[in-house]
Amino acid sequence: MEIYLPVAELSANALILLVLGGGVGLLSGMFGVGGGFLMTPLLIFLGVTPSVAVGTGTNLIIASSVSGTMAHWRRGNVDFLIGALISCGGAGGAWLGVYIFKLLRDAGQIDLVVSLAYVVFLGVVGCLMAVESVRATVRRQRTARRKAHVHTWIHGLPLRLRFRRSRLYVSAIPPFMLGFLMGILASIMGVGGGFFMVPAMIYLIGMPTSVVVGTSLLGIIVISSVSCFAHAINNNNVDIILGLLLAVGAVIGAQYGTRIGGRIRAEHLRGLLALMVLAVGGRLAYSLVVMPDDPFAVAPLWGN
Amino acid sequence: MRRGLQLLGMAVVAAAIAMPAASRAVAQEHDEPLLIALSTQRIEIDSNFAGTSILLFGATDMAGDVVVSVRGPEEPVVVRRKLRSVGIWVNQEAIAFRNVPGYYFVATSSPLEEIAPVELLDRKQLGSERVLLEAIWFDTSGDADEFRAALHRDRERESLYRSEPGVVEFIDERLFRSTIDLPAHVPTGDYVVEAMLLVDSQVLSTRSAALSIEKAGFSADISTFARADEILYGIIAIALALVAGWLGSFAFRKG
Repeated sequence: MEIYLPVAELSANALILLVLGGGVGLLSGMFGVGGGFLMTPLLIFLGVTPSVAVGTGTNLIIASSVSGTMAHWRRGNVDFLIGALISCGGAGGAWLGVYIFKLLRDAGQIDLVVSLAYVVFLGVVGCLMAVESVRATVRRQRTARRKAHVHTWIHGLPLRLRFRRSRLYVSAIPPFMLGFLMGILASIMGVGGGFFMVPAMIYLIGMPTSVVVGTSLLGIIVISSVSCFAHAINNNNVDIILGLLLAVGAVIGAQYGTRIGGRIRAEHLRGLLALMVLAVGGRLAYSLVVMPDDPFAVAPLWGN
Repeated sequence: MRRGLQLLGMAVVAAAIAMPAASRAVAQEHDEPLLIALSTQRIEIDSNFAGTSILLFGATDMAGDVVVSVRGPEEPVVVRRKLRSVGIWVNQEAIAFRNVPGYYFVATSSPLEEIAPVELLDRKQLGSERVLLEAIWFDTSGDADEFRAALHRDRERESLYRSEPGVVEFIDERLFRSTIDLPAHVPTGDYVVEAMLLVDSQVLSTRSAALSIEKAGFSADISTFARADEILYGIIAIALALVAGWLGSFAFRKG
């Protein structure tokens, strides 16, 4: 069933888009990640412009993080106060990120920056996960040495608040700043950023692992909503038809992915995810390095 | 379908030639020895649009050559060039051009260079290589013609420009026709179709007709909406995604 995507300005098969969304949803459910970092590059590989891929990505992430947050909320695994701080910082960051995106697009550099950001983030995160997964497999027999959260200068910052759900009494500034950074990244890369936010919440803020995923998803809903809105009004790059088709597939796929993920050993799962992350990053890096078919590119003149 | 169009075109021309006395008088007042008609003046692009062709029919009062040109909507365009820098390809040079037609087509009854002097062809911008590409800003020390060539290459890849002119075919001494191919990615907007009668390297008569290409259907409405009311569109985009996510979680709660 061919359908014309009004903002992406190309025709695509609706079933293929549903399956694509389902596939990414399946993987994101399996690995417990948002899937934006897979979807945005996939859309670019399919011929959607990086601008529309990022704008539509923010739309898709709203849908998949809502269903994730609901599941965690029912189990009481959401720290609403930290979530609110991340959201406030994130809203500002997301708006700034869209503004940076617009400046880069007008300068003709957005494609490069989006690709580079992916290569760097996917490369770093992929390598860290791969190393961690190998280590965990090697010393699986040993009991995990769980560090109680260590106080650093970060926790000593002013504006301390009591976070009941996380059983923490720490400064409000780190969650706010973390949200702000995530907002910028989300707007430029079209990702939710869970793969970056979750480790930061555990290691920098010292939150208990049980509430981290639900809380980060709550922050991601707000960040991606603000980002989606700012993209829609500044860059006209949100395709609701494309976003909705992918979202329906992703939400369904994620449900099955969660079940499959439960049957695979955690460190193997992380190893697989690391390989996938490195493959996507590698493919993007290759397209930056290899000589383009035509070094010239034509675009409408934005701005003036 | 094609046959039908041809018949329709013939009928249009026949009607034009046998116009009621009043309008024919107007035509004679202007003393134009050229008449043209298009098989359609409005094209709607829906989700199944994969390109189309329209027919131009015309009649002349005297022997001569006919050149038909079609120009699509114009917009400023920037051409960027990637250069390798620290191992990766980066957009580094650019030239912006004013008023670049999104579509250009020319058809002629004899090779252009044989029927008109080059100065005339240049002035009338006849032939895709003569479409005026006026640079409005430079960010390069290179040759602007390389950027012009790249723009032509890009448009030819999409079949929006053609390096070779099309054909104006005379059906008999007075009637002629030409087929105008519009590819799948044809830009929407107002087009100008112009026909010229040339005799002894002189333009004796010029006639033009308007053609409009518009998006139609549900997708077109969304595309217009996304630009016309950005704030409401943004809110609806968020709302739809929230509902989709919520429904998904609701539907699978038991499962």
